[in-house]
This record gives sequence, C-alpha cells and structure tokens, in this order.
Amino acid sequence: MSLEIKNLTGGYAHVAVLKDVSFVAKDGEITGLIGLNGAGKSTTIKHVIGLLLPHKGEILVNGLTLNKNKDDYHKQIAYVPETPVLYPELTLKEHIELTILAYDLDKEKTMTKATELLKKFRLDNKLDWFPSNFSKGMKQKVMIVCAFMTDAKLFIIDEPFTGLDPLAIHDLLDIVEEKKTQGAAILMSTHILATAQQYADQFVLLNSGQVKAAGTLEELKETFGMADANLDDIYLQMSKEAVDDHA
Amino acid sequence: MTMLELWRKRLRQHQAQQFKYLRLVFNDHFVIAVIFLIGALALGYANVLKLIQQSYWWGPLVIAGIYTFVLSIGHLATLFESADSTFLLPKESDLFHYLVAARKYSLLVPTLVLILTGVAVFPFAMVIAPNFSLTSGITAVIALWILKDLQLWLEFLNCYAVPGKKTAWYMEKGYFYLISFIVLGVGVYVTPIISVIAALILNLLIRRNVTNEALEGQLKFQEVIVQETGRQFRILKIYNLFTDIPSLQRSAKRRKYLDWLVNRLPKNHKQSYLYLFGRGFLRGTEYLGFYMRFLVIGTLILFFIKQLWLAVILYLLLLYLSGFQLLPFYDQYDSIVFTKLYPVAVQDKLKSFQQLLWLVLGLQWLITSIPLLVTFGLTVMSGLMVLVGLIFTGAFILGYTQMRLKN
Repeated sequence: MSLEIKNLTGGYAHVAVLKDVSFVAKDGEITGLIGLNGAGKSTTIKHVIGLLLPHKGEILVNGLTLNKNKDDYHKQIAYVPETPVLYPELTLKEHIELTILAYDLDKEKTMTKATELLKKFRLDNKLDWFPSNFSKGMKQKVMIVCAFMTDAKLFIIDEPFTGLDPLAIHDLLDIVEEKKTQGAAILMSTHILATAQQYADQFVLLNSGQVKAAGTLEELKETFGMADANLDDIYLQMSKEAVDDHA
Repeated sequence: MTMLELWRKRLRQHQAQQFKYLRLVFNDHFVIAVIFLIGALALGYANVLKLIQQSYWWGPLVIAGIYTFVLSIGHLATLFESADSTFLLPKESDLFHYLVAARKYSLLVPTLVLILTGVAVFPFAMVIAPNFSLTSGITAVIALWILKDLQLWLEFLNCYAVPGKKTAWYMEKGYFYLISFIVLGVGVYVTPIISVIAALILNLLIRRNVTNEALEGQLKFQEVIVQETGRQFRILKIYNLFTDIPSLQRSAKRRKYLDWLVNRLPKNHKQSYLYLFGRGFLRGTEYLGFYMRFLVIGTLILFFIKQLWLAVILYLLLLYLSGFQLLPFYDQYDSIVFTKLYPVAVQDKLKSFQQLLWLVLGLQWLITSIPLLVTFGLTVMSGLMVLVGLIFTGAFILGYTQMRLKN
C-alpha cells in the first residue's frame, strides 16, 4: 500500500498537465512509469515528492499526506532525479554526511551502507572530491548512493538508465532488487522498455497526462488485445492510438 | 532582420535586465548605507587633502597612474551569446555593423566614469601636482576620453583575425596602458593639451585600419563569445553580492587549509543547514573573498579615523554591509531539489543561517573593535561603543535578518 495516487489533477500554476491520474505502487514491487516525452511522468513524480501541489486529488505514502505530516512524509521518500543536482561546495563524503544529518539517520549504520554502495560504484576512492565536477554518469551514481543508503519506504527514480554505463545499470538494478525484497516500493520512470519489461512488476502507461493502462505485462497484453506482444509493441500501439486520438 | 536590428533588440533586453538588477541592488536600506559611506569617504578624503601641504615632483606620476587605472574600467560589450557561433555564422559580414554599434554603446559607461574620476581627482591633483588648473583638469578628461575611444577600437579590431597574419604588437593590452601612462604623465607635467594631441594622433592611426582589417579578417566567434561571457559573469557577480542572481553558475574551491574550521562546525539534525551554509561560505567563491576584503580594508580605515562619531558610524556600517551582502546566501541552495525534500523545519533553516551570521559578524565585531579600542583607549566611552556594536549585531541578526528572510 506504499504509494497511492487518487484522482490527481495537477501541473503548473495555470496549466493542468495531469488529468485524473490514479494508480498504486505497492510495497515489494517495482512500478514502471512509462510514457512519451511530455506525457507527464516527471510531473507525476514532482507531485509525489511535493515540488508541485495538486489542484485536485490526493497522494498518500503509507497513509501519510504532505500537508498533514510534511517531515514524516518526506522521511519515507528517497529520490534520484533525472538530471543530477549536487552542492558545488560539498565533497562526496559531505554529501553523504549531510543526507545523514538532514534525514536524521543512524550515523554508523548508514555510513557502512554508503561505503558498500560507493565500493560497488567504484567511487570509494573519490570521497574527498567535489562531485559537481564529475561526469554525468558519476554524478548520477552519487545521487543513487545518497538515495539508497536511506531507510526510505518509497524509492523514486526518474529515468535512471540514461548516462549510466552498462555495468552501473546492472549494479543499480541489483540494489533496487535488494530494496524490493526488503519490502520497499519503487517507482521508476523510463524509456528503456526492454530493461523495464525485464525488471518491473507493474506498469503505468501515461499519455497526455492520463493513465492509459496499468497492471502487469499480462494484464496490459489483455487490455490492448495483443497476446504475444512485448512492452515495446504495446508502447508503440499506445502511441499510435494516441496519435489517432489527436487526429 | 539585419544585424543592426539584432543589436538594438539585444541592447533593449540587456538594459531592461540591468535595470531590473540595479533596482534590486539599490533597495531602500542599501541606498542609505551607501550615502553614508560616500559621505564618510568624502570626509576622509578632505582630511587627507588637508595633510598635504605642498606639491611634489612625483605628484603628476600618481595622477597619471590613477588616470591610467581608470582606463581599465569598461570594455567592449558585444552582447554575443554562445548560440551565435552556430546561428549567426552566415551573417558574419553584416555583423560588422552590429559590432560598430556595440562599440559606440560601450563608450557610454566609461564616459561617465571618466567624468566622475576627473571631478574626484581634481582637488587632489590641485594640491599634489604643480601648476594643475581647472583647464588642465578638463583637458585631461578629454584626453582620457580619446584614449578610451582608442582602446575600444583596439578591442573591436581584436574581434577579427586575418588568417596567417601575426597580430600587431599594439594589440597587446600592456602596450596600451604603458603608452597611455606616458601620454598622460607628460600631459600632467607640462600641459594636458599635449595628451589630447598625442591621443588624437594615436586614435586616428588605429582607426585607419578598422575597415581593412574587418574586411580582410575573420570574426573570432569563439573568442568574442568567451570574452563576453566572462564580462557578463563579472557584472553578475557584483550584482550577486547584493541580490540573488539565479543564472549565475557558482563555483567552489576546495580550500583544504580551511578544513580545521570546517570540521569544527556542529553535526546534528537540527543544524543540517549550518553544515551546508558553513561549507558553502568557506568554500564558495562569492562571499568569503568579499568578506575578507571588507574586514581587512575596514579595519585599516578604522585605524586612521580619529573622530569618534565618524569611527562609530563606519564601524556599524561595516557590520551592516557585511551582513547585508550575505542575506541572498540564504536562498542559494533553493534550486537544488533536495533542499526542498529534507525533513528539516524551515525555522531550523533560519536558525542555522542566523548561527552562520553570528559566526561571521561576531568575528568581524571582535576584529573591528580593536582599532576603536586602540585609537580611543580603554575608556568607558569606547567600551560603550563596542557594546553598541554587539547590540547592533544582535539586532541585525535577530531582528532585521528575520524580518527580511521571512517574506
């Protein structure tokens, strides 16, 4: 019951990008948020983490809402943005330390976890560097480390596979898998459909700010009436329908 | 659209932007502080002038030096943008007119600076240089203006390069300043008419080349863009001292030698922002340098002021300006999404920022109190002044800062 979006209409101040979006990302599952450019994936994510406020509808994370329990709500969420953003004046180690302080985490336990993750991503020898000078992929890894060392219940990853090298993608999926077995919910937006199909348990197909279909791959096949299809085919079919709708 | 029209459009946008920033910088409190500061400086200047009893043989050299230094203010503003090297490539020859217009506009600000300098330097020149009259003062400004015009033509020429041809020796900046210094120095010694004539001859010699070089040469897009970006960055950095400029790319220096200070900052949940602000302040390139200069220069000036009331005003003013220029720092990290997600209360962020101010202004209070106590002795009066300084600091942090940052 981790993330629950109920009839969410929202977007920017005067432009409603999302129209009546509802879906659930369950604990112990990876939910793939799939859609064309501009379909509303990032807008949905911005609503969940509280950067945008709903015009209508409600977002619950384990029963908590942002306006009632701001801090407890945020403590449950870890977020990896699409474009890495880092503090120019903090070293890699200090980014980790600041996250520990801000989320009020146990210092030693979290440090051990972080060190493990850093080793995995081959960053453990760069602790004293400014990550804002790293390459995009390495910055992305820093963001992943900072997110996955927390005890969050809901992990939100926006387009995780762009910019990462194949080895890092593999490592990321390992970590996600681990969090999943520990019972966390994972919401992941992506274009890389082959990978999504392989790892996600559930899919939410967004188009023009509306949920076109949701469910497991089997359920999607049924919805679109394509028995032998893979996610790619379904995605193309959906986009085609969207174009037809427009015409 | 011709390139001349493009220039006009960009100039309008540029001026609108400058105006916007200037309005933000010169807000009510700041204007009052600046008026006081100018007043204090003028008074100090008058005091120094009284100390000089006679003219000296090296007086003209000092004057020529000041003049030459002022020539380094204001450069060719091309308003080039980085996309220009892609989109305007086919318009290269038409850009000649754009750049001519840009050069003309670039004279505007330096002209004002030169006139103001002429006025400000005049009383000083009267006492320190023999035979310096009002006519000399006016003539010198005219010579300066012709030299500035020449400098901008040189910078214009520098936008072009003829492939395979070596750049002329006079394109080297050092020569311009050296020759200007000589021309101005001779003028102040003998009569500034000489400077005007010499500057005019040099100016015409350079102008002769302009059309040829531009027709023969190629526009150095990359270089011109890099220069303009640098110029804009320097301007924005100044604005950024007083208000928050979102487009400004911040940079950081590791400054390992400050780690002993960094490591003393507290580490706990409630003070998460102090952790961030402290490091940002000590390693950022915007605030620390300004603060240190302010502290050193302010302390030095305070050592030389013998009037109690003036010293106290300056002492408090320095505290105010130091704190004031740090206020935009509060919002510095707002563009980084995590700052919005951290489960840290806004009150704790404000508290952390106030703690940073206590550290920064507290140190300044301690240091700038020293010249007060030295000059006016360990009396009840000076003790009282130092106490006033502390109360002022507290009022600034707990009252003013709180009020400014809450809305």
